[in-house]
Amino acid sequence: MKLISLLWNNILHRKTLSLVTVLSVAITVALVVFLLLCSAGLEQGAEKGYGPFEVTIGAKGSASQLALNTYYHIGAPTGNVPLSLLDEVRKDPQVGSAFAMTTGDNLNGFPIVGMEPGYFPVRYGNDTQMAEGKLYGKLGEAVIGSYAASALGMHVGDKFQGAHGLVKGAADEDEDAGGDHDEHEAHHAFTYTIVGILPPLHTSDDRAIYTTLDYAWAVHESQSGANKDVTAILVKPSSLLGAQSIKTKYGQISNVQAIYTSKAVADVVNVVDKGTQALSVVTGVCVVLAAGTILLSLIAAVQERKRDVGLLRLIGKSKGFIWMALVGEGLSLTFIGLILGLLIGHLGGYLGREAVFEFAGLQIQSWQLMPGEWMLAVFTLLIGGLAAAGPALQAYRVDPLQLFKS
Amino acid sequence: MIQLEAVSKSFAMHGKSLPILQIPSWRVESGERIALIGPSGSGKSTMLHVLSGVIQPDQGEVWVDGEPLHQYKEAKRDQYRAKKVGYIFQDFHLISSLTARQNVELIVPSEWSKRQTTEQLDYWFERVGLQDRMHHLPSQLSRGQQQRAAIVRALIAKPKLILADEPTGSLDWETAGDVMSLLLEICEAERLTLLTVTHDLHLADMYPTRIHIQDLNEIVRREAV
Repeated sequence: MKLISLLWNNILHRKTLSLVTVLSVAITVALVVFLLLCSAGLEQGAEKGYGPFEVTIGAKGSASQLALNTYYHIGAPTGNVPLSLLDEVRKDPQVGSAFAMTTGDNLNGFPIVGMEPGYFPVRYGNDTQMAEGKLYGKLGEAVIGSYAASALGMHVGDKFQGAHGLVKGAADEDEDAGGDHDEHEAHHAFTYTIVGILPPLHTSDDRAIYTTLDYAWAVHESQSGANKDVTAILVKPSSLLGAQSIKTKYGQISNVQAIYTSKAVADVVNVVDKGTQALSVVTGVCVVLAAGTILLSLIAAVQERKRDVGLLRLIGKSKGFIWMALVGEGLSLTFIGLILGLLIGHLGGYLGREAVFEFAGLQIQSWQLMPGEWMLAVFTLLIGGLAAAGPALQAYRVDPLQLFKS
Repeated sequence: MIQLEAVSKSFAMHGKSLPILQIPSWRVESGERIALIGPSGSGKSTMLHVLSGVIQPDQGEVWVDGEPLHQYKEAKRDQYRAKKVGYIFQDFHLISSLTARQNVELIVPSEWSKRQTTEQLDYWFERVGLQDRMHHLPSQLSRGQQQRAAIVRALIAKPKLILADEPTGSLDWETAGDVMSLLLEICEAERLTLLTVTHDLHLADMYPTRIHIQDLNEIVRREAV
């Protein structure tokens, strides 16, 4: 009988304990895989999130808030800046291109963003084609991100009315709290028509609805005549040096801030990384528990099988065979748990990708094999091997005469 | 086949050294079938353990089939046991999670082909009358059947020496007689050397040769039949 047959038989003989061991490894691995997927999604989102717009200009306030709202459509804007500032920025020789953005409304929780159409080729390149339809051109036309389109079941030609606020239900709360009833009515009276669906861009734009910049002025009564405001100005500097100059120049204007987008995003990623580190501690506890389960399972196996080990020694099986049988059993359980965990982790990522995207704006590439997974596999097998080594050594030392001891 | 020269073995007990074996000289020829008899604690089992290489004598030389066991390290004695010794126990000691066939497969030499293994397993299980029960777990076999499976395990790898420690001690009188007859018959037919430890004088009478291990410091005395 080959060693592999013997250890497989032993695993099957203790089905419940083997199953508990495999599951504890699988759950730990799945948790780590899910964290890796989210972390990769976060990094990719941070990298791709702001495109070439190295400087962002907006109302004074938190730099992170300005970046999150402008590029990730998360949270409230810091306020508004005058539209006239856009003209000034565009005239600046250090500016390659600049686009104004207006926000403040939503459709069932999906943000409606006013943006000049020229944003798309600059952000995603001239080669990017619409999935369906065309880009908007006049007031009332809108394009919808691929995820929002599929979540809302919207198609080209569909019409809708927006609601005030950046999240679903915010308008109702505003009204309850004594908000402007006329403005609420204005939102409901303004009808958008979907003229195009964006292709999957794997950024937060997938869950946004884009329309003309002037929508905000049409639905908000206060935005008329010379009082027109924008939420933010996205600036692509003509050079790296230009970025510094733009930041310094526009950061000095009263009630206006100019930020390095990359720095603000990096600050946010660092905060999230700290959260990930806290989760890593929980994962570490899971790893210790899984290793403990393997250890206890094999210690129990050695106690149960002392006589069998004695017999194997007596019929001439070497100490190495005994050691390998136990370590092999531990490694086999770990390996099965590892494979199962990898599958569950990726499947969990696949099934939870929409919820994660909706909740955190993270795009999870659920079936992508990440470099960290190789490390995870090696580390898991190492932990399994180490946990099995102790009991295996105990078995290794069993005296053949153990068989005759009562 | 077996040659012992000035072999002694003692065990520590309550801080004192208790001599168990003291054998000036003993020789067993190949193919002999010997019943080793004597009271409990007289060193019968210790003798088997010395001959199997599980324990080393304190002094003296132990030769089995030309192999100097007294000179071998543990790993070499493991190899010797796997190749040349078949062990049969009073409590059978079949691994409960394995079928009768799988228990026997544990012993099959790794160099055997799958076909050779199957042929040999079929042959031996048929020879002990267990051809229909080889895929049963030990718990599904009677005690007599378990001992027959254990006999197959001891014989399958074609060892030179069969060591049996009270092989019928857990069986009823009738089954014990059947199993002992089977063992003797196979060893005679295959020309295997058989050394059986027993305290049952009636069963010992079935053996061509009986040897008493008397008390401490006693020399092994051969009693010709």
